[in-house]
Parts: sequence; structure tokens; C-alpha cells
Amino acid sequence: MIQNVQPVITVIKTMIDILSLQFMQNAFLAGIMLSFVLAVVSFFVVLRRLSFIGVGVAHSAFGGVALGALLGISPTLTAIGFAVVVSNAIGYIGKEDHLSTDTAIGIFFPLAMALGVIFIGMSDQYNVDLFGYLFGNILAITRQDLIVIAVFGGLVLLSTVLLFKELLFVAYDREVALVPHCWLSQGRLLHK
Amino acid sequence: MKDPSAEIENKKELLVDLHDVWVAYDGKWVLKSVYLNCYAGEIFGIVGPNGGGKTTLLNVILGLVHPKKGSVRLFGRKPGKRSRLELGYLPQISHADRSFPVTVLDVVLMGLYNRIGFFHRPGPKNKKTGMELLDQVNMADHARRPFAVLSGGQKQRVNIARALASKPKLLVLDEPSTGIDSVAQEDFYELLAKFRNEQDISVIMVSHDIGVITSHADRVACLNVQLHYHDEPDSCFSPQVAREVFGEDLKVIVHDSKCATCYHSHKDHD
Repeated sequence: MIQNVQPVITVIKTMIDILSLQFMQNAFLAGIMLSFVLAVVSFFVVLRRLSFIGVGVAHSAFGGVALGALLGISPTLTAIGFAVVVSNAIGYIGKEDHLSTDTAIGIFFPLAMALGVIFIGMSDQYNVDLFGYLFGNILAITRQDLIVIAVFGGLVLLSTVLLFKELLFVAYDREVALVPHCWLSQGRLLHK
Repeated sequence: MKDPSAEIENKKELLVDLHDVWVAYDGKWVLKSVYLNCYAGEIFGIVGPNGGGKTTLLNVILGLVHPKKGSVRLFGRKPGKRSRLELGYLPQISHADRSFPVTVLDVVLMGLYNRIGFFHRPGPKNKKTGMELLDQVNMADHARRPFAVLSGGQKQRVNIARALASKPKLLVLDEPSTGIDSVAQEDFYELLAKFRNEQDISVIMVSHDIGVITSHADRVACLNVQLHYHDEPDSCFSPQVAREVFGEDLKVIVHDSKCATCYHSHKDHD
């Protein structure tokens, strides 16, 4: 009986040891917070058949990281800039040229990554771990990152709770949902 | 069906008034000098070939497309948010026929969202209204079923219930009979006539199916970039109008006693 309990105790002890490490705490907290936020966001992403956009935009950010490294400014900022530009371009091209979103993502994803490779080639310094940025490392998450995740994740969750039925209607039947709100259909941010 | 001309004489409330409307996409005219009047109490049909600008015309009425030239008046005013709330719109079925995890009742409730307002969820009162709407289209028994499992005709009835939720004066329907078998189509158009007769809801509908439009509409217009005909269907289309609208490549079929010289286009299934 006691012999059986021993391995369980060892596991619990190890877990406590792991969780006493600051970087592991950060990693767990970030993972838990993001799992809630992303679960909610991905509900709409899947409903609007945009599953490919996660990969597309995340990889496009690589171009931004490389640009930041080239210009010597914060790669986080340029990565966010790239991601915003690419996601809007996907919406715009998909709508204006009547391409499927998958096609539009398929155009911009390699484009942004190729730009990233060019930017790396142009910069002399090769010591920045760009691929670390591309694939990320959850163990590298800092307290500051946690605050950013908490604030923006909270905003996303709050707005989703408040506007759930509107988001659902737009995802379900964009045209009908927007008829009373025509100013929205003129905008570019909510395109399929 | 009521005698539409008597109806119009009595009321003559002009719901939709298009005056010399021109629309272009990518430098190509899609609508040229379109004049169109739709009065209260009418079921108004617009027929024309695919690519003839039918959907664009509806989008102009809805305010989703702004004409390059000409004026649009809806319920006697310029189209604005208020007039659009008095419209019930049903796009082509293909837009919402995919498997989407909502129940029939959820779909109808979407029609009430504008009344419920931002930041609020539909409450029991709204759900009761939703059930009443479903009852009007004989779909109340299906309220808890997933929308995706319904047949084409049932889906279209639920969509009509959703469009009715905003208490519209006018229903705007884009190819309402796509993907519905002929029996369900008859039910569907009977339903439209019922709402017209009992609740005074007018209908503008677009179709490439001349037979359907001529047997169910009070007045029809033929559209192929330009408007070629604008009258009651009884006098039916002359061969000349039919050629102008659908081109030379036509096959003449006898439709029914009411419309012995109707034309059917080969382009129907494009």
C-alpha cells in the first residue's frame, strides 16, 4: 500500500519544485490565460471558416520581426504592425477580388515570410535568434508579457461577452446582419 | 390573389421609388437608367438572366450599393437606418446554408437583435416572440432542432420568420426558391400571399425563373442591365421583350393557362 503511494508523492514533489520556479509559473499562467481567450476567439474564427488565418498571420509576423531587427527597433512593435497590415490586406483582397479567404491568406503568408528572409539577408548582424521569435518559447515569457496578456485578453473576453449576439449574427449571415448598419459594410475591418 | 390594380388605386403608398438609377462595377454599367415603383400591398417580381443586375438592384434598394446617378427613395424618404429597419431581407440561400451550430429558434431570434440592442441577450420574452414567429410559418415544432438539418423549404420558411421579426413593411427576397422543390415552392409563395393579405406586408422578389414570377407576382419587371418591362404579368411578355432580356438563345415552353407564351432561358442553370 505504502509502496504504491510513493511514486505519486514523488510526482507531486516534483510538480511543486517546478512550480516554484518563476519562469515555470509565468509559462503556466500565460498558457492558462491564453487558453481561455483563444478558445473564445477561435469559436468565431472557425465559424467564419478562417482557421488558416492563425497560421497565416502568426507567420507573417516573422517579416515584422526581421524588419525590426534590420531597423534596430523593437521587433515586437514591427511584428504587431505586420500582423495588423497582413490581416487587413487579407480581408481587403478577399473582398475586392472575390478570392476565398484561404487564397488571400495563401498569398500574404509566403509574401510576408519571404520579406522576412530578405530583411535578414540585408541586416549584417546574424546573432539575433529570429527563429526563436518565429516559433516562440513559452518559457521565455516575462512578468511584463503576463500583464500584456491579461489586459488584452481581458478586453477581448469582455467585448466578446458584450457583443456575442452581434458577432454571431455577422458570422452567420453577414449580409442580413449588416443591412441596418450600412456604415459597417463600407468599412474594411469586418470582411469575411 | 386579390386584384392588384384595385388595391393600388385605393392606397397608392409608394414604398420603393427608383428614379433614373445608374450603377457601375469596375467601369462596366450593371444598371442603366432604371425606374422602378413598388406600391404597398404588392408582390413585385423582377426577372432577368444571371448577371443582369437583379441582385445589384436589390442592393440599391437596401442601401448596400450607392448608385452613380439617380435617386432612391424608400417609404417616401431617403434610405437611412430607420427605413432599413422596416425592411426584411432574405439573401440567396447559399449564404447561410452551411452547417452552423445554431438552432432554428436562434436563427429567428437574430431578426430581433436590432430591437434587443447592444449588450443585451435575448430574454424569455424575446424567445416567446420568436416562437410566435415560427408558429406563423408552421415551424414551431422544429424550434429546438439544429438549423443545418432542415430541408431547403423549411430553412426558407425559418428565414422568412427571421425577416418578419423586425415587423417589416416590405420583404426583399433574392432568388427565394433556389434549392427548393416545386411543392415547397408553392407553400412558400402561398405563405408570402398570406402575409401580404393578412399583415399587409409587400414583397419585392428577384428570380431568373419567369414561370415562378409570373404565377405569383402582381406586377413584374424584366431586368437585363436596363429595365425592359414594368407591368402586370397577365399581359405577359412579348417575344420581343423576352429576346431583349434573355437574348436570342431562347426556348419557348408553355407554362400554364395564365401564361401561355412564357420563355425559358438556357442560362437558367449557369
